[in-house]
Amino acid sequence: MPTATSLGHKARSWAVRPYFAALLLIPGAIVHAQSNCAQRYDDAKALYDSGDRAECISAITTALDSCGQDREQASRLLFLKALAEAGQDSLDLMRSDLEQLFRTDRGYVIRAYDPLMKGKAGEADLYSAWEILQGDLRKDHGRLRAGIQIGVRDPIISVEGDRRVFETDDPYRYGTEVGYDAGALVEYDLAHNIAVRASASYSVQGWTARNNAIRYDETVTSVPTFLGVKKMFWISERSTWVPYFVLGATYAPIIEAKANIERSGDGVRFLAPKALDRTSERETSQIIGSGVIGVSYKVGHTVLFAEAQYDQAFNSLMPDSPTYSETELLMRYYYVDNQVTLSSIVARIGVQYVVKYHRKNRIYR
Amino acid sequence: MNNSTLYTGIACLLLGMTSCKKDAEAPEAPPVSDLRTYDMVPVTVERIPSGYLLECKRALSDPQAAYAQLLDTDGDPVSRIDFNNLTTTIENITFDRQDITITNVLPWDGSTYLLCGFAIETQHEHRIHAVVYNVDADGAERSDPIRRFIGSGAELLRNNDLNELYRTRVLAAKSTAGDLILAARYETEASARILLMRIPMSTGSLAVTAEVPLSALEHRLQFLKVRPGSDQVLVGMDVASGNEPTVLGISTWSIAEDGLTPGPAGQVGLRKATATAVEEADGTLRITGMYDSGFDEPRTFHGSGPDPGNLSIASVQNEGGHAGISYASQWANGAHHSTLNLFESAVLGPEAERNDRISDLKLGKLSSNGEWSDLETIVPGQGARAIGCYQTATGTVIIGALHPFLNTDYLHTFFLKVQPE
Repeated sequence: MPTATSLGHKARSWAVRPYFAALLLIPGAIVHAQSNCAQRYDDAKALYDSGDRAECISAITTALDSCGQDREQASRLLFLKALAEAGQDSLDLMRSDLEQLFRTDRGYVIRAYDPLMKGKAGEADLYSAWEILQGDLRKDHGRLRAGIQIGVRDPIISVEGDRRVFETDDPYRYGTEVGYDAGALVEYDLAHNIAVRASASYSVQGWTARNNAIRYDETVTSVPTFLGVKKMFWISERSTWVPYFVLGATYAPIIEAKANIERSGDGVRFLAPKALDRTSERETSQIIGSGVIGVSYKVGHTVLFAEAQYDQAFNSLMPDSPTYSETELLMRYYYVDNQVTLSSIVARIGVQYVVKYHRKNRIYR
Repeated sequence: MNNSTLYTGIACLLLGMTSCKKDAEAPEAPPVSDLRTYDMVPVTVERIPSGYLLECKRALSDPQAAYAQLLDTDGDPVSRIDFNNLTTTIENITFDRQDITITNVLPWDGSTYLLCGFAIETQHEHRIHAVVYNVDADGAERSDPIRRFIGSGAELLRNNDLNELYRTRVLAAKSTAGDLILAARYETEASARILLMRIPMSTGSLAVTAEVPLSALEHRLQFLKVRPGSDQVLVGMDVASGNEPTVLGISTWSIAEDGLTPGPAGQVGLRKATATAVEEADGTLRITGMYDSGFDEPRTFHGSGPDPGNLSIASVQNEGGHAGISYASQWANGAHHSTLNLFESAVLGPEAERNDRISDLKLGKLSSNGEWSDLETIVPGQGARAIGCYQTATGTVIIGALHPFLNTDYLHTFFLKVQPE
C-alpha cells in the first residue's frame, strides 16, 4: 500500500510530465511547420501547374503569413508567386514580390534556364525585372535602427600648469587609466546614406598624477550623450559591409569623481592612503567634439558594427579659476590639482536592430 | 562602483541625459589662491622690500636659528644666509663655532643684513658678547664682524614656549639716525638683565649703554622697536605686576648723545602676556598678543593707544570659549588685519600648542575694542599656525608653520595667499 510520502512523489512526477511532453513536442512542431510550408508550396505549385494562377497567388499569400520566418520556403513561395503574377500580367505585384524575395534572401539567383520558369507565361517579364532589380536595389541597413554598444575608453590627458605645494617634490608625471563605455544608440536615415545618430552611455575613465612622493589616482564617471551625423559608403552592392564615419558633439555630465591618494612613507609620514569624493570640485559637465570611423555588417534584421571614436574635450575637468579647496589634500598630502583635460579614444562594438526599413530604398511600392 | 552610481547612470541613460545633474552640493572653498610649503622650521617672518625674510631652525628641537631664508614676493626661495659659515674670530677673540648664536636678522639697507646675536667664551668665565655680522643676501660677509662685551657667567636656558629658543637673545633695530640699537638679554645663575646699546654706524654719534634689570630669571626680552620719526625705542619685556609674576611691560627709551634715558612706560597687565605683533602707525601704537586667561587657557589681547603709558587693552573673545591666539597682525588700509588660530578646547598648555595639528586658521579684522569683523576660516582643522600676515596688491599673504604628514616631530613652513575680497 503506498504511503502518503510515496503518493506525494508520484503526484509530483505526474505533474511534471506535461512539461516533458511539451519539450518533446517542440522539435516536432518545428518539423511540422517546415513540412507544412513545404506542403503548402507543393499545393500552390499544383495550382500553378493546373493553370489556376489566381488560386495559386491566393494560396501563397495565405502561406506567407505563417511561413515568413522560414527563409528557404519563403523564398520558394515568393518566386512562385512572382512567376504566377507575371503570368497574369500583374507586373507591379510581380516586381514588389521580387523585391521582397531579395530582402528575404539577397543571395537568391534567378537563372534563365530554371525549369520552373522556362517556357512559362511571363518568363521574360520576370527575368528582365530581376535584372533591373539586381542593378537598382540599394543596400539597406534600415531607416530606423536602435541598439546597444560597448567599448574601451582610452583617455588622452593634457595638463596646464605645474603647481606644486611642497618645494622638494618633483614635478608631477601624468598618466591615464583605461576605462569603459557602455550605452545605447539610435540612428535614423535622413537620406539613403546620411543618418543622424543619437547615443548615450555610461563612461568611466581614469587619470593619475605621480612624483617622487605622491601617488594620486582619480576615476571620473560621466554620461556622454552624443548627437551627430553619419555618412555611410555603399562600396559594393553585393557586399554587406558598409564603412561609415560620424561627426558630432557630446555633452557629458560628470556624475562622479573619486580619488585615491598616497604620500609614500619614509618614517616621517604618518599618512594613510586616503580615498575621497571630489565630484563637487570638478566641472559639472564636459563639452566634447567627437569623430567616429567604423564599419557595419547586416545580418538578417540586425546590424553589427565596430568603430573607433575620438573625443576632443573642449573644457578641463577643473573649474577655470581653481582655488585650493580640498584642505586635507592640500595641507596633509601637499597635493594640488593642475588643469587637467581628458580627451579620449574609444574602441567600440555594438549591435542594432532594424526597427523600420528605408521606404525610399524601395523600388516597387 | 556602488549601486547608487549605477542607478544614477541608468536613470540618466533612460532620461536622455539632458537633465542629469550632480546631487552633491559644492562646499564653500576656502579663498586660498596659492599655497607653497618648504622643508624649513620657521621662527620669525619679516616683510622686506624684495619679499620676505624668515629666520629658521635646522631642526624643531634646536634652541637657536640656523639660517635666514629669503623668499621673493611670490614665495619662491631666493637665497639663504647660513649662520654656520660665519667668521669665528671677532675683534681678536676666537669663539668656538657652536658658541655663536644668531638671534635676530636686521635688514640694513637694500642689499645687506645685520646678523645679531651673542657669543660666549666658554673657556673664560663664560663671558658673553653681543656680536654683529654684516652680510649680503647669500651670507657673504661685507665687513669685519663686531662684538660688545655684556657680562660674565652667562647661563643658557630655554623658554618653555612655542619655539623653545634660548632665553638669552640679542634684538636689533635701526634708529632714525641710522645707528644700530641692540637690546641684549642675558642671565647668570643669580640674575637676568637687558643691556641696551647704541652702536654708532653714522658719523658724530657715540656708543651709549643702559642696563635694565629683570625681576625674575625666566623673564624674557620680547621685542625692540624704533618709534617712527623719533629718537625713541620701545622695549617689551616680562615684568612682575601685583599678584601676577609675569605680565608684559613696555618701556620707552630716548637715545641721546649722553645716554639712553627712560620715557613713558606701560603694561599689558594680563597673565603671561606675550606680544606677537607690535606696530606703530598713524600716531597709534598697536600691540596684539596672547595671554593666559586662567591656567593654560591662551586667549588673544589687543591694545592700542598713543604711547605705552596710555594703552587701551581689550581681551578678544572667541566663539564657544575656545582657546584662540592671534600670532600675526598687520595694520594696513585703515584696518588691523589679524590671524586667529582657534583651537578645539578651551585649555591648551605649551606642549599642546607646540604639537597642534587641528586648529583652524582664520583671518579677520580686529577693532580697537577687541571685536572681530569679517572673520573667515582660511584653513580649517589642519593646525596651520600663522607667523606673519601681510596685505599685498594680489591678496593677503600668510606665512607660517605646520606639522607635516601628521608628524609632530617635524615642522614645515607654508606660504599662503588669500584671494583679495
